[in-house]
Amino acid sequence: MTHALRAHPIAGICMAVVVLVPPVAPWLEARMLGHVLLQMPALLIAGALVAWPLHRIVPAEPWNVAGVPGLLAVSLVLAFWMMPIALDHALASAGWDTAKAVSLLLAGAVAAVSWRVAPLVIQAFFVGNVVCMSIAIGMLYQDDGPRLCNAYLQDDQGNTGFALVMMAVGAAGLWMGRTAIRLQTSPAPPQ
Amino acid sequence: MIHPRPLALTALATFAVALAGMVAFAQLTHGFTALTSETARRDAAAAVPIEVPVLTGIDQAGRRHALFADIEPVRATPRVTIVDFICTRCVGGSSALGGSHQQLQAAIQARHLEEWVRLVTVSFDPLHDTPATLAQYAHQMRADPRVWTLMSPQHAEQLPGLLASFGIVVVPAPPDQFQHNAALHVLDAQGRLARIVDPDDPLGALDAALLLVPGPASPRGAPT
Repeated sequence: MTHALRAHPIAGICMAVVVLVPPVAPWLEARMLGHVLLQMPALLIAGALVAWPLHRIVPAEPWNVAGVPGLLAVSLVLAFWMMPIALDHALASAGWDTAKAVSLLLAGAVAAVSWRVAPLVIQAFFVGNVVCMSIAIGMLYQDDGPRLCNAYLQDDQGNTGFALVMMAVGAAGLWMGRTAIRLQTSPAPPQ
Repeated sequence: MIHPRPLALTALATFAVALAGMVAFAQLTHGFTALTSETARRDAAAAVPIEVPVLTGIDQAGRRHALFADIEPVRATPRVTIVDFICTRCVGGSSALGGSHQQLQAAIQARHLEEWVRLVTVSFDPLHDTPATLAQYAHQMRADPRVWTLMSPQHAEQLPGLLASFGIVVVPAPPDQFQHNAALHVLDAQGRLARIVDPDDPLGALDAALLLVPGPASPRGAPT
């Protein structure tokens, strides 16, 4: 294992620890914005960093051909923790909070392993799915209706919704840009 | 060339993931009915009445009360109670609830329902809402003590348990304010939380309360 590969898991573990223990965890969870758009993505990225070098050890075949079940699981975990009722549960109970941390770390790990074996069309489907879902939920958060999370203020909910839409659009743009460059530099992409 | 066996196993894994996701979402949303914990708590109360712990406090007339289990032992027929939780210095949810309770009081008086339904307002901010403050607020709201009791909790340590049993979350909202899941809570004659109604639907709460009135002397169907 090269030096660079060892650095990934260490960075991932540090990141997970920082966002899961005081004083950072309560500070992040005190606001919806910090909970949904800082802590949760950080857990996902931490899981992905830890698992990034593992793709040789965890083969795609026979269970995860083209990364399809893996990426499906990741999008389901993301959707689950964007539900307002799940956020309230995570704040109200230590068991739910632990489930959140574990599932998001695992989702990050599964995403890293699956992404590397997913062909472009599967990646596109996954990105499109998650981005559309995030935009829909972000707009729901911004809706001027009732407060969705009993634990968070209305303004916080609206800001989180706006930021979630921006983040989703940004992620989609980033992925499309990167893919366009990759397709141009390698005229015959392996499909 | 991918062998058919890995493809079949991957299809199986995909199916298992989809199934697990479905089960998880069904659990989370109580069978795809509740996206928010507010909906979930309303459904739970409507399905099975929820026992709530005792809260002792002082009402606007300076009398000591123990809510809600010992509902007025002196009365022959215990009344159904509509409860809200407020803080008098809060704008928004709390002042909307004040208006709803005023409307409810007017409806109860107009329909002569005083024997069946009563109103209770509990402050979740006893440090600020002393019995004196609440008495003044009751005066502002023109609360009729025969119908509407406003309570300042005597033991602040009783509040968290009570709020938790009602499913109420109070969030500090700077500056010097609180936001909470404001609602009208209908307690049956045994003092159990049986219905939760939107704060802007006081007459809906009154209808729900009348449905919970026990015994043959109930005012159901009485001309309004």
